[in-house]
Amino acid sequence: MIVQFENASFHHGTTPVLRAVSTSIETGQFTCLLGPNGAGKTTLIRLITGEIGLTEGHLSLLAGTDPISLTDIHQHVAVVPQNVQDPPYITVRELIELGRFSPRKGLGWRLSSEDHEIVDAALESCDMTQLADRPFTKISGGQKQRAWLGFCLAQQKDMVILDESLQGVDYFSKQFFFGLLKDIAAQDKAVVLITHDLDLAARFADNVLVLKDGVLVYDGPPTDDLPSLLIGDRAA
Amino acid sequence: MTRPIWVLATLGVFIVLGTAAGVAFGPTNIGFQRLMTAFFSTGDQTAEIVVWSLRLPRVVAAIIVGACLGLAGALLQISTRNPLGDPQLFGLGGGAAIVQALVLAGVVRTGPWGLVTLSVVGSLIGAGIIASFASREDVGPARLALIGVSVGALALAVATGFLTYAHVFTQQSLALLGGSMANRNWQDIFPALPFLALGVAIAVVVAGRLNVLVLGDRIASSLGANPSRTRLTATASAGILAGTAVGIAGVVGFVGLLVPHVTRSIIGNDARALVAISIPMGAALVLVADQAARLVLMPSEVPVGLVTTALGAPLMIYVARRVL
Repeated sequence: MIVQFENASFHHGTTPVLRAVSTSIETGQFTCLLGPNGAGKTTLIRLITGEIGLTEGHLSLLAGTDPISLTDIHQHVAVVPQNVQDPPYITVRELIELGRFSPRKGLGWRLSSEDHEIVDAALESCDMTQLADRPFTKISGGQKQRAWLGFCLAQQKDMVILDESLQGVDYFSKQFFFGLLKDIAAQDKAVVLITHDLDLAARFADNVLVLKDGVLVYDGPPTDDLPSLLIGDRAA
Repeated sequence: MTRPIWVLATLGVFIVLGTAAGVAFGPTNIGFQRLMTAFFSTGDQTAEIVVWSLRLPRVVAAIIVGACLGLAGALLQISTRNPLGDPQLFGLGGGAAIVQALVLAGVVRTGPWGLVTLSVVGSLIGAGIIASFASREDVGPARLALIGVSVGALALAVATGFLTYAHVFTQQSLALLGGSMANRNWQDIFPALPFLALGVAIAVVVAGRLNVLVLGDRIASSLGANPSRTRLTATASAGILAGTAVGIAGVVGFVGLLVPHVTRSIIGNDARALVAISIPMGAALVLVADQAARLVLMPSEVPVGLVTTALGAPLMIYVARRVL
């Protein structure tokens, strides 16, 4: 177990966004977080990344203290949030190299030979070696997804969170991406993907979390009932 | 990518040639012999005045202005993730131009030190406006540039209004709005040095943290960086530098846009190298552009801002079409 929510609630002003969510996210598992827009998926992720704090309940990271320190989160969680703007100018390799960035080193930051090996391995893992020297802005949507994944992998953290609904990415690229995430999770990492794709979530995820109106309505292995859980009985 | 040392060497050659042209040529033909006399001995008073009081200060002014604008442009483009980042386009120079217009119009009375200091304050206000918009995630590069252009245009309109109201001579108005280093003497230049040093010092402090800003604030934060603080510091440095440049030369357009793009195309994307090389690149560009402004239509001359704009405007169109 890497992250545990216990009766976690978050209110935006007086409006409840998450209500008494209790769940855990496990290392070695590919978790898909599903739910309609506004269900609280992004809020759940922002709680894990420490951008916002709980209104009620508890959240623990590894065996960390409560509240978790930002330093702990930065050490263990790699994240690519929703609607991230394309980084201008840089190549795929330069993006992934930034995964090795350490703010403490400042002006003297240099990639060590070990860093270079890690970057090469990350490029390989997300199948981007061939495109390493292409400018990020000049690759396709699916390739951008994989480049961001490589960026997360280069950070060598225990948990990878991708908040992305893969809009505008073709089915085969998505399928390949889900497969990659499953493989990466199998290497003893916790991988969380926010997605709207029920079909691929059902095929690839080890665990599925379904949020609806801030309530966790399902937490378990993929099931045929996902459409009805999400949209209601009409879809069943 | 070309090694920085070769780039520095090449820029050094341009600066030496530009300085030689700036000192040797001009409306008063003093010839090589008298030039050497002015440098290495005494006696020829006319040559000494032409070289030491007219031409050399102008060369130094061009180098300082170019260094300021080049570095300010690099800091703005990197810290706002915006390929259109430029102290004039983003309205920083506009704040300083209002101050200059107030001084030219006689509304504010101050000496050279006060002039540069007030220019820096005016420019920092412009920097504050752009920094407040740049930190918002919903303001993309094109919108940020539009906001900056609007702020800059408004500021220049206000500055022009003051100049017109006070019936300031056309030549002086043109020098401010078009950018010119004509008739600058050492007293005008010295106050710029501490501000240039301060701007460079802040840039050195912040340079190591600039690279991650390309990722956007949320991702940069997840790496343990503090992007808001880094951007604010970089923008403040750009404000100081842009104000210094306007304080000496008025509004010299597009240098801050041009320099980082040219530098990036030669040495790559590392923010530290971009910041470092943009300083001599800006100095070389403005120095050479000023020779063109001085010498092409001799004995009359055009504002140096016209030359830099002629180079920079097509680049901006290219950037807007291809990069944004």
